[in-house]
Amino acid sequence: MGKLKTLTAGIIRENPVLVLVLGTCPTLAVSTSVKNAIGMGIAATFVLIGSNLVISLLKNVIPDKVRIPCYIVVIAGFVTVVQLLLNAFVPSLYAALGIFLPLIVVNCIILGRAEAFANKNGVLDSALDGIGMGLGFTLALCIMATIREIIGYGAFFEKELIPEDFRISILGLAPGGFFVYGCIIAALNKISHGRAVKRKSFDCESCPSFAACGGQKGECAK
Amino acid sequence: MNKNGSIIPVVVLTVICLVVSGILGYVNSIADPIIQEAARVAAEEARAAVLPAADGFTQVTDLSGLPDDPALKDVNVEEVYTADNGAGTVTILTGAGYGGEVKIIVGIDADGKIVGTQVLDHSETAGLGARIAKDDHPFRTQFPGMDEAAADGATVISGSSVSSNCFKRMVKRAFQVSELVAGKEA
Amino acid sequence: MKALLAILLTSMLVENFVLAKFLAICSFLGVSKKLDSAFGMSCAVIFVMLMATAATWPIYRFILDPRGLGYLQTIVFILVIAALVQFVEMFLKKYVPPLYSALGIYLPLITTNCAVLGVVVLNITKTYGFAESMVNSLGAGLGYMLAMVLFCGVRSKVDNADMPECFRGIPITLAAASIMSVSFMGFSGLVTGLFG
Repeated sequence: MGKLKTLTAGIIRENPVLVLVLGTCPTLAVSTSVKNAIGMGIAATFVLIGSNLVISLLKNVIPDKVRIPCYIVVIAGFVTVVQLLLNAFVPSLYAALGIFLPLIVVNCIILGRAEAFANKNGVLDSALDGIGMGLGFTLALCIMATIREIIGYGAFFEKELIPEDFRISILGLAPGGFFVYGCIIAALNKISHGRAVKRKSFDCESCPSFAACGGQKGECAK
Repeated sequence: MNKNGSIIPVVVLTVICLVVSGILGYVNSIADPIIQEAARVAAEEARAAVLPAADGFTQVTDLSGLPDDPALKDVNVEEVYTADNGAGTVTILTGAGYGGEVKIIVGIDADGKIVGTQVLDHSETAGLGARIAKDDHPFRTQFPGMDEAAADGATVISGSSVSSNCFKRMVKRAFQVSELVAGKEA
Repeated sequence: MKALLAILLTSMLVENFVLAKFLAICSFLGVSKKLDSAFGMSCAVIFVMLMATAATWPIYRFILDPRGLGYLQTIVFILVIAALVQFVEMFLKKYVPPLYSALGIYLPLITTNCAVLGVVVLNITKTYGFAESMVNSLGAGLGYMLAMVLFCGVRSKVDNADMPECFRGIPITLAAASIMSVSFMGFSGLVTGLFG
């Protein structure tokens, strides 16, 4: 079933964070607690579904020349809506996400999916893709957050579990984020015998700005 | 119609911008009052937490005459409130900690004794300097009831002297503010 | 003056945008393989950050904020950055070709670089004045360059080393980045120590 495949692609096989290595910034920053990870995941998923839907609806109306600016405006619009609603109704999450909330606008995942999927596919497919990618993002974020919160802060969902002396607090700090992320991808490599992370090579096609520069500027990643 | 000409693309972009801005304006009109109200309530709660005996607060803006203290040059007095019923003064200050700025709120009663303190914001190292933010840490629990002299001699957290001393400097400044305000009201 | 220097050192070292704040990671991982690209990209980033701050700060302060339109900040800023990058690219291509061939190719990548949008938003959040904002952006850019160039050196050693197959590629790069992040943690307390 094409629809089911579209939906589930983003969760495991083409997980944006663990396989496509996109959206790394919020992954590292917001994975210090599972609560924040879920919050961020929901916010990003909302923006992803919304922008995928709108861009898919407008794909025949938006001229090619102003494609990227239009996508950006739509995505920024959804992000601002999320910002305002969170600030008003869930201020604790708003404060916890901090600067990474407005940064959802430049989250490679969202612009990337708009460019790679929504402007070529129908509304329902785009929505499903948005849901799948959003779930994948949230899942990856939660896996990282679980590891970092339990070992780094000795807590889960802010309930203290491990006494202070047995925590490895560096996992909750900046270096820990990098390290846990690397280890998870390494584990994924091991489990899938190298098939999973397609040796993400940062070449032209996988770069989210492929749309903008058209691949002629192949210099940048050589 | 040539969709890739010059006019149409700009028109489409402009229309999308306007529509999005309109939607945002609407959402903002709903959200903004809630946000403002929440901020107001949070500020009131912080003040009440450090000076529970007060019934209401009035902001004090005239701080002329506050002594220039070179030892406290990194401390900034952000806001000062005096209790309407004379219960004391609440001061919000910022100071230079180890990892960045530390912001605290201090409540001092009319007898010149600390009633309560709270750390509002900080970027101190987790597990070390950040301990000043723990309300139940012995460092913080020693303050209530102290007067200026006692507060000067407060015990710092070993291993976090920079953060602790920053806190103490701000407390000292808060005493100076409270004396100034008491003097003006007298 | 001292305050500005403190801000510069903070955003460059103590709160390094890449290693402490987790901004610009995609480009950090992607473009730090070769020294030329790393350096070129960093120069372009510094350039765009400074220009973006110079443009966005007055827009917020004189147009958005007085009218209570602060919530349009995200949209306006990202559009300004995108437009700026576009103009700079065209300008360089036409009038300064040597600079264009050095920096120009990185410019489209910078539109979606979290660090640029991040720094202009942070300037507003921290309610910096104009000079402080420019200095903050300069520090952020310089910190980015420092992290990129240093990491380039690290990567050239790491990529040739012996390691379990599953770590090859991204994982070992991330692990190396984590160690670099630890070394930058050593800078905390620098500003307080220097300026009291």
